[in-house]
Amino acid sequence: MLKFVGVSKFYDEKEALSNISFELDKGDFLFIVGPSGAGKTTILKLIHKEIEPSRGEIFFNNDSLKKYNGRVYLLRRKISMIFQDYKLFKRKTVYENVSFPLEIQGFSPQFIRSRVLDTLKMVGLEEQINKYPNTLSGGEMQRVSIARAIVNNPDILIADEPTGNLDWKTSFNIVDLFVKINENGTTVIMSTHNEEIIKKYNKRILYIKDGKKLYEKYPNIA
Amino acid sequence: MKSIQILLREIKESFINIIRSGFLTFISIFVIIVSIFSIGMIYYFLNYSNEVKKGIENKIEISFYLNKDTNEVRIKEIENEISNISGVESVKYISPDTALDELIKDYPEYESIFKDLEKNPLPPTFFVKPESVYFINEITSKISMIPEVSDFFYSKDLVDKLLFSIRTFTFLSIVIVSIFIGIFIFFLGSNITVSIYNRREDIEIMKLVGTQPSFIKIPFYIEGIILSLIGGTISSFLLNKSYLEISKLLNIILPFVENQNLNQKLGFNFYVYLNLSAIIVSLIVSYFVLRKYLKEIYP
Ligand SMILES: Nc1ncnc2c1ncn2[C@@H]1O[C@H](COP(=O)(O)OP(=O)(O)OP(=O)(O)O)[C@@H](O)[C@H]1O
Ligand SMILES: [Mg+2]
Repeated sequence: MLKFVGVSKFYDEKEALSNISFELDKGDFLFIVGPSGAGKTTILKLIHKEIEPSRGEIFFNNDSLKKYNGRVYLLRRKISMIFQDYKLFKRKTVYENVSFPLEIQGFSPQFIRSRVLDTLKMVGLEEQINKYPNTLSGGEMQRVSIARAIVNNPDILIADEPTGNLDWKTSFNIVDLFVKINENGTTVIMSTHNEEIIKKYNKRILYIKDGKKLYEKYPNIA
Repeated sequence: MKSIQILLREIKESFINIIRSGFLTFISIFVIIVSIFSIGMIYYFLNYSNEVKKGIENKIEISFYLNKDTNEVRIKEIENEISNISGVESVKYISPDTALDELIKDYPEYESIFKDLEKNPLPPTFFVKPESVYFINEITSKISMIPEVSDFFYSKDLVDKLLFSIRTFTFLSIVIVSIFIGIFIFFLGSNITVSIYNRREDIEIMKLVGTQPSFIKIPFYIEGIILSLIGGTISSFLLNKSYLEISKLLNIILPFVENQNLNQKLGFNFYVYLNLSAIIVSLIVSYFVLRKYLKEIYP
């Protein structure tokens, strides 16, 4: 479903990623782990096509991401991203934030309403639908951004340090939510440098350092 | 069905943006009103000066004389030649006999003197009416090339002054209209630029959640259309009222100029075209501003 083939990324002279290859299947759950500056964000931005690889190629459902040149929005409707700083629309309510990806695709108001309410219920925000982002806690804002990311049922959900600004209890709740989303069939990729999380959840790990893949660890089969 | 849903959303977005822009929207509408109103006023005075011109034109005539020994056949030829000159509306020939009869009619007290003349002293005369003052120079130069023509007259001073005033006025009008179109474009362009700037964060997020570029751009176009329509409608009303008042005033000051109320002459269509032009200009401005600023945000 997602495949990196010898991908390198240079920022000017600096090599941020060096010859990275890995492959994910539908329904996988992957932690991308590594110290600060390792290249985690760079990998996620490449998947989301915010930046282009300097070398190598990325495939999504057997198509090169180059196929989406000029039509990135089509890719981003299938690969949703969650950000450490949430990136919510400040002047839209929780409901409006979550309904936005459906509105731009012109679904019927009835469909949008039921889908948004279901999704907000799943992330546990059914009480907050008319609030504005600045009245929410960090954990709640992260839930809104998760709801917005999954509301149109993407193939892949990518999250860049989604727990970076949250306390450990809230962090576990968020990752629990990812596990639940993953169990519903969505592939999840999440970057983190939180050791506790990696230990607690028995998932596949891609460990990188200085832009190089150090090792890949597959979950223990219990 | 889907595209209607999307369009409804885009219209909603543009109204939200207009309300959020508040003061800026207010200023823009004001500038649009002033620009369209001024252009409409200039248009009125151009029309009015045209009426003045027509009024004077009706009175302008070129008259010229032929040598007395020109024969009838040649006179007929000349008459034909002249009526074939482009810009000539009508040619009237007065034979020396007719002219003398008219002279006697005008001055009956000198009848005996005229009757005693051995030979009619009057030359064959032509009166030429040009279609417009603009043709006068061309017509006179063609006439002067006819060898039998001995002399011609027209109120050169008046014509030259008239032509000069009309040219000056037309030129000034074009300059002023261009300035106002410039102001219109500048403010509308600034408005859109500032709107893009105010919304850059939202645009950035929209782009990240898979929004098609048209959904980002179309609200800006709709916003331009709405602003032009509001400004255009208000200035149409103002123009309508002002035309009425100014027509009344001009009829009192310059009663000899035929000045049928422009409102009747222009009709409803004039205001439709005015608004349509404003909308078209706003669409063009939006296109260029969006192309300039959204390209870097959304290639
Ligand atoms: N836009 C950029 N221009 C230049 N260098 C960059 C840019 N973005 C990232 N880098 C560099 O590339 C390397 C990888 O950065 P990246 O953001 O992918 O690391 P990271 O693993 O996400 O780190 P962190 O855990 O701190 O978020 C770093 O050395 C960083 O300085
Ligand atoms: Mg990072």
